[in-house]
Amino acid sequence: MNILDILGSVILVAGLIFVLIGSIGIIRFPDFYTRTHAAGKCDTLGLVLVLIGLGFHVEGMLNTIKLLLIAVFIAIANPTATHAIARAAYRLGLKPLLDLKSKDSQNDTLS
Amino acid sequence: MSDRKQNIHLPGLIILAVILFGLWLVFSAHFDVFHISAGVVAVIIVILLNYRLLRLNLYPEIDELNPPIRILRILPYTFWLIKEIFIANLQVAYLIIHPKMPIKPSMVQFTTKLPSTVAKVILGNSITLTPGTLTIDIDSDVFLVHSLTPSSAGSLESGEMQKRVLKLYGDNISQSVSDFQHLDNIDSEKPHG
Repeated sequence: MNILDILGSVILVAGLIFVLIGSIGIIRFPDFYTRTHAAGKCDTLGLVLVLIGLGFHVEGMLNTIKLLLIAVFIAIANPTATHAIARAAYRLGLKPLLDLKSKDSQNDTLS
Repeated sequence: MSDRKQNIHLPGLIILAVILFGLWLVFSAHFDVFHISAGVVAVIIVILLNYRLLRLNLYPEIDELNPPIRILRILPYTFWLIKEIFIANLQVAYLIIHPKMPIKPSMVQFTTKLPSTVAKVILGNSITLTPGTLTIDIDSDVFLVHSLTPSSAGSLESGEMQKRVLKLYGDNISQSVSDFQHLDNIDSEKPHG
């Protein structure tokens, strides 16, 4: 166990935590757009971190470069896909849930 | 349809082929005759499949000038973006885990004059990557963004990120953000299809 292995493991676990939190976010957030936030971003960072962490563990420079290239592609493709999904939903007329808290309080004061 | 097509220029095609072939070499890591010839065939197939797509000018209303990006400035921007992504991701993670989930979603809209489609892609993707904000639509120069918390919308209002994207292209930045507004009522029927 050398320092690079430990560093790789730490980055790997950090990435997995982000993926886990993103998944929890998909369940907890209230509407489509907020869920897209959780799915599109925590997952991107998590996945990139996992790939970088793996890059420390694999043998051979070339394999590390491959993993880093995949990480770069994901970092570019994932937000693009997120944007495409959100845009499609918006153009199909799905209304975002806005201003949850103030609406709740308004209802409270009216009733 | 014919006015949306633009002439494909050969240098671009050759650069694309070289990039694709370089990627093939890195990913295959075998340098014998079989793998290299298979790579050449694969590159030709990919270019043929994408040929019709490359001919489409997706933004016919814009005369693509495509001013060159300042190569040396990409690196500082990337580091700044990575830092922002980390800070903001921790914020969203906090929002998700927090028992009361203190989110306050809103839609904001602003105008940023960017020199090319590539610049819009950079800004749009950067907005999406920094959590709390999500690019929903880009209509010529108008960006429509969904934000989780008021503070993440506020960071867009200050124009920090827009300024940095503009700096990738040049130094004379007059105004990075204009017509910033919160949208209270979204009329979903309106957007053009």
